[in-house]
Amino acid sequence: MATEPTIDYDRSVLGKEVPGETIRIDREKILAYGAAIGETNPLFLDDAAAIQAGYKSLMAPPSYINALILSSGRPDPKVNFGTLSFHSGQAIETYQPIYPEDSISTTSSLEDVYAKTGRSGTMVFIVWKTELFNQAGELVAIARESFVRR
Amino acid sequence: MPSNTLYIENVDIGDEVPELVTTVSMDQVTAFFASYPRSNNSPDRPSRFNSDEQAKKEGLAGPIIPGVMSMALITKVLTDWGIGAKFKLLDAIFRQVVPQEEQIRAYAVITDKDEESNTIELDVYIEPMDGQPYVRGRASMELVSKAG
Repeated sequence: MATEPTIDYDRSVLGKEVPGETIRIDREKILAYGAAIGETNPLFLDDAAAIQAGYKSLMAPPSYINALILSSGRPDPKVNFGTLSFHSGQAIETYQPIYPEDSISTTSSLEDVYAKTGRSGTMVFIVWKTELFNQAGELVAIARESFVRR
Repeated sequence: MPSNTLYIENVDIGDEVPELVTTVSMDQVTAFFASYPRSNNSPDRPSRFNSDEQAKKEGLAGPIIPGVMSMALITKVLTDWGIGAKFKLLDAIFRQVVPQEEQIRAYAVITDKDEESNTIELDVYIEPMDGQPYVRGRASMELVSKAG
């Protein structure tokens, strides 16, 4: 059975939860995000339509949580492998809408670092989990991101 | 409910969600990152997303679409279609880099339906117009029921 190579990284950050910045949600930024991807759903564009659908105002599209993760201060495991890093996958789970003027805080942790060897050689995967909370302390979303180094 | 609400009773396993065919430009990627509250991807800092030269230095054929923008495009396909639905989950694997300035299609297919929880599961894709998927994954949405 093939064994994966030992990865040189800072294991002390594994599992440690790191709080990120709190971000105040800006309506104009939500609308700019929608414009950049050609958003058409009125829930993300129009207060009246969102209120009619039972929400308190227009809200951010679900994928907008990615715009907030960059401020999460993900713990850096300082992986000593490869020269290039690519986003290899992501999972987002949403629980509450994100509205303009919400204050969203984040907590990130390093979930895993592992190696895989295939036909193109060895690659090292780094997996982070970020939880997002609103000003009421409600869990808004969870994101898991994996990056590959090669 | 809006007249175009998507009801769980009106969808079936195997139904294909209308595809989005698009070509993403560097200007769109720049606008996408500019909409972030904070971004490391300033147009002033060359990256694989905003510089042909930097992308080629990294061994790519040219600038690429960021993974987070692929997530946004897939999510948009689902939310444009699922009027009234609650988006629950998107879990995607970026199998290949997605090039800018090339026509791509994003779509989804319903793979499971649970009328007790009003939930559907979908497989999602971003593909070139002919070839293997760049992005594959699965998604989950809670639809509205006519039963209330």
